[in-house]
Amino acid sequence: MAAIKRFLRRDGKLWLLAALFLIGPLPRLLAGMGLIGPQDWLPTHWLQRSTDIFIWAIFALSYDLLLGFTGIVSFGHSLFMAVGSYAVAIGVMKLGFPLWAMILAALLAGALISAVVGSLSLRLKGHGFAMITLAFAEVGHVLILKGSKITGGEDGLSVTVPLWMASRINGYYLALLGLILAFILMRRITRSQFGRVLASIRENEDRAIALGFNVTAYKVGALTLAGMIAAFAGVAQVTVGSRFAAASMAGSGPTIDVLLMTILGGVGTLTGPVVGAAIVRLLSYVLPSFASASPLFARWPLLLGVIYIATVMFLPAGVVGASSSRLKQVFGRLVPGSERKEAA
Amino acid sequence: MSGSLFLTLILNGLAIGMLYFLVAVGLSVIFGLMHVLNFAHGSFFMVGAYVGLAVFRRFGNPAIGTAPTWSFFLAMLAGALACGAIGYVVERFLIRPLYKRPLFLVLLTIGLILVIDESVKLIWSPNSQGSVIVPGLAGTVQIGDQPFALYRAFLIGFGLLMMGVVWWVINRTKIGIIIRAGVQDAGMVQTLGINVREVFTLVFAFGAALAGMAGMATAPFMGVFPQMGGEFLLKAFIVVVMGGFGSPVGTALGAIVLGLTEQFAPWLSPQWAGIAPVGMMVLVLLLRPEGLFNLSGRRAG
Repeated sequence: MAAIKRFLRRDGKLWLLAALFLIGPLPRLLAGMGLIGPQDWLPTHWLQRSTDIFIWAIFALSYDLLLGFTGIVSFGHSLFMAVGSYAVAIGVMKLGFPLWAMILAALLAGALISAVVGSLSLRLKGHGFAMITLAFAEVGHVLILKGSKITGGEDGLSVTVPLWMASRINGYYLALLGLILAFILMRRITRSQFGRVLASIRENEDRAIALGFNVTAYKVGALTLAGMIAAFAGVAQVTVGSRFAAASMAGSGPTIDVLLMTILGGVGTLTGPVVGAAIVRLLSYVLPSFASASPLFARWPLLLGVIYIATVMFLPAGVVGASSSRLKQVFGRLVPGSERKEAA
Repeated sequence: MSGSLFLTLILNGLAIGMLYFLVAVGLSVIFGLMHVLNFAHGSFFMVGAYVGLAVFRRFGNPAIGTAPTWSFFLAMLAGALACGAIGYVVERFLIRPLYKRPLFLVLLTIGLILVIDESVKLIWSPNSQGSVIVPGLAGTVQIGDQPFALYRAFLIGFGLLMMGVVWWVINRTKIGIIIRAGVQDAGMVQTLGINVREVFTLVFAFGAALAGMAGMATAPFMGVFPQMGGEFLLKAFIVVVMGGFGSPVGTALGAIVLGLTEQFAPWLSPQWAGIAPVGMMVLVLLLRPEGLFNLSGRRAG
């Protein structure tokens, strides 16, 4: 027992993710052995949906670096995912660059744009920062819609990928590999010296300043990394996910989704966003299928909203964090310096 | 650009600016007073339009989308009352327990968007509700060689009236003094023996009611559809950022400037006009985060 506990504490979560490599092809394997019929007992879009969950998990991880590990609220995070998606889509489909080069370029573009947005707007705190990120994302949204010669505008851009990438099972493996890489990167960031300074900013920004840290520089650093990982999720979306760059990616929809995932799963943890992404996406697959029972299920975001509000009010540390009392303490007062308005 | 076209653009800008004012003033005072960035405010606006429309249609002929003029005013009142009631319940039972956790307060209002918007789609269907015609306010008047919709003239008058009412409440009544003092320092007002929590609830409900009234006032202008809440929420944010948080006068000026910008920007560049409003928001936040017209100097951050 002790050995298992130690294993789970050190690397277990990572290995659990890695184990998904085996589960992906399982239905096909079983069917091949004649154990199940060719019509899988698993939902038909199983691989595609799992791929989708992995991509959202990457995006949610990047959001948690801001919300959970640094304590800054961005309402424009979808912009960076859209940057990743459109960089690949435009570079490959419109300009004819090789895919691998555009993937690198997309990561760079994500980092660069988030660094610019961050250094411009991180002088603002709290609500001001939330508002300006919202505005930046909206600017991006309008640019994508109106620059239709390059971006396809309302129609978006479809991306064709090499044949080996186009197979659903390989897409599954690649997205999972991407998630594991993002998970390892996030773990390295949050456990590093840099990550500890970010945590100190979250806990008490004034104290971090008093200790001599250049808080704004650290925040810009966090936003740059988060923007790059979000762009990576965008790259995954147009290469192995939907293979489609849509203008709505930069809108408020994906930002609200990722907020739900991070909060539901457990803000300030690495497993939380992954679990949250799985919960939200699975619900969005399962709930509509009950629509014949009650029209309520056709409007499933309503149920999601109720679950989310209940989480915000009664389970602020999320599904994963609920077991950890330390997290409860931390997230009872998430925004640094927020206590000052409590007098009223 | 001819003189009468210029005048028509200005009047159009004023008319839509009045709608922006009605939505944004609640958002602004709510933020100034209790530091709640209410993302659900646009949803209140939309609910006002739907409830109002239901009342309006009850008195008229649904086939042609019209009803007596008086029922339109009843509909605006119904929209306001419904949203006031929703605002009261939301503040009292959802927001109040979370004042100690400001971040989660913002996250809560985002959850409310989902719940309210989806409930509206569940009750009234996700489709657009068709046009709304108020017989007494239909038609146009001629300004030079340009036609000008009578309903927009009504909006300007009605908006000015509501601006006056809000100004009077804030500056000439006891509750207004408490609100202005609360924007300065809510804790101090509490210390003086005034139950600030009750004022919070009142202001939240009143702000929601104004948004609901604006929703029905918008219906004859651009129809009733579920996405109208999100559209006007963004506009209200832009107005509040320009006007400065917690400043009704700033909100009025910001709303008019936004309305005019939206009318004149397409004349400069039809393709890129859409960026002007959010572009202004970015610039104001970067260069003057306390707002363009804010006299009290409170910052957004």
